[in-house]
Amino acid sequence: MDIETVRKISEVARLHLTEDELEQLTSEMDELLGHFKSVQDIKPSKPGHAKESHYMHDLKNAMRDDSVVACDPEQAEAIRNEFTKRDGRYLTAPKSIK
Amino acid sequence: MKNPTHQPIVSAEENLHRKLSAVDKWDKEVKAFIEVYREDALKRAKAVDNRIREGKAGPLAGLVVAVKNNIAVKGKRLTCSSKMLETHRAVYNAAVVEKLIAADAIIVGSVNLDEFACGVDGTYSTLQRTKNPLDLERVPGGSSAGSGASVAAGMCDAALGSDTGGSVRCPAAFCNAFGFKPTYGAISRYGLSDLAMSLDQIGVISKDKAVMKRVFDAIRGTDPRDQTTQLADAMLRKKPAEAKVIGVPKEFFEGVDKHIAAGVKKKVKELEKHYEVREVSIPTLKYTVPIYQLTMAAEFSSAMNKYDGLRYGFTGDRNEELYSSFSKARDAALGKEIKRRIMIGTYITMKEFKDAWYSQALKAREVMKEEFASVMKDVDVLAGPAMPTGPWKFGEKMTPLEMYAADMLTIAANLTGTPAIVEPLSSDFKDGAIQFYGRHFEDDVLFGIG
Repeated sequence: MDIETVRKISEVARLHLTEDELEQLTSEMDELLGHFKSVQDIKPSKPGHAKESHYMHDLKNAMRDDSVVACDPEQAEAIRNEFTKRDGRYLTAPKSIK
Repeated sequence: MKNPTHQPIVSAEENLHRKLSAVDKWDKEVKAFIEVYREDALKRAKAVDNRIREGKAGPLAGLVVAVKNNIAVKGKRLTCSSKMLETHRAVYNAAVVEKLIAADAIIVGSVNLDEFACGVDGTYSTLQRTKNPLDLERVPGGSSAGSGASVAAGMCDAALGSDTGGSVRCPAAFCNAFGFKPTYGAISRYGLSDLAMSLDQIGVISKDKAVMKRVFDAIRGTDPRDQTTQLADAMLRKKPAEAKVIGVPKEFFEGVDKHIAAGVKKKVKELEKHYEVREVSIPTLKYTVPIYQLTMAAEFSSAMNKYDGLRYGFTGDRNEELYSSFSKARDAALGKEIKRRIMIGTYITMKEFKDAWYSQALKAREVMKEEFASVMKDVDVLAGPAMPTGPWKFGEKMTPLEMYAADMLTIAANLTGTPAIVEPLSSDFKDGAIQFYGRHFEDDVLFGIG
């Protein structure tokens, strides 16, 4: 792990880190990942049939019909309050493309 | 501070007054509560007493319950003990809160936690430092620090916590209480701020095992708003299982304080009078910390993307370009441990590194699940220590790796989705606690053992 890799990760992670934070994380991640590397020693019980464990139980996709329900006015108000700018009946979010 | 006595409930109002007196007496020092819902609770207690008199009261009538502050209580602060959400208020009730209210429990307030439930001793809260009521110089355990401390100080009859890697069981063990993490999918997580979606489960802490069971029974069950609970109701209808054989994995004793290991072995010896006890081996238990840390970090970094300084709580500079505002808000409002986990999770899920890390952790987790299933064909429960040490003193320096290793005995229950319960070994918290793991949806078995 080197500081430039950590800087790249921080950009992907949307974390604006200081140089000190980047330096500290470089050494911490190096140590932690060095320890975590041992997972690569675990071999599947049936060679060639490694399964990834994403879910705990065998669940079925649960589908429901779309239905129109009333919007909770308090929830709507809470969302509205997070936006300080308006454009007519729209809420304005910060620019995402330069 | 001495262990408070838990007297029987005479009336909801009287019980609440006792608990509020304990809050007034101790919480300035212990700092378990983020918010005490005094007025609301008093109103509720009066109403519950009326229902008791009318013979219409619910199964938790008059029990005073505290709720970890990553579980939504409508209209109240929902901080996750983070600057990111310091001013945020919940706009709806979590499913477990709806069920507590429906069962006539009195919710006394919200309690402290490590920031976003990331920590093992409670010291990672960015709002306040909760102390262990049994020794104020020691940590209460985490991440449900306030849940453990409020129970130990007699400020509530039970507290809800969340358990992603041991966050209910660790503070229960450190505060000398009972702690229970149900089977993954037994309780709805609707309204719980997620840490890692394949590991999170809401659990209960209490000084009284029977109270803990009553609370669990009141909040368990299928909820269409959390699809991981779709088997819960069907499993409740199954004939209750009974434990006859206890397996003791030898790996559970590696790296454990001698005093605690000896106490647990003595307890297991006593259990031999009633159960067949066998030594078993689960080799992947040696790898629980890496498997857990990689799985959790991947899911956590994804879960944290919603905290962008735009939609919740802490607000970034809205005049700045979106991604710059997003990144700066996250840097300003998130703590060190949160950033560390986001960084690791982001790294191991990047396309070029995913196969070597995240996918490998998921494959290792599958091997662990297979080993557990195989061992638990022949034994009904597993027994071992709950925590490798007792609660340490504030200020004792720990590296991140040492902190992560403290979870080594609890996290396998989250990785395999099994239920687990911890019980104090004696009236002295320094003696540690024993832990039992059960089979999926055989949660009730764990309440009858020990």
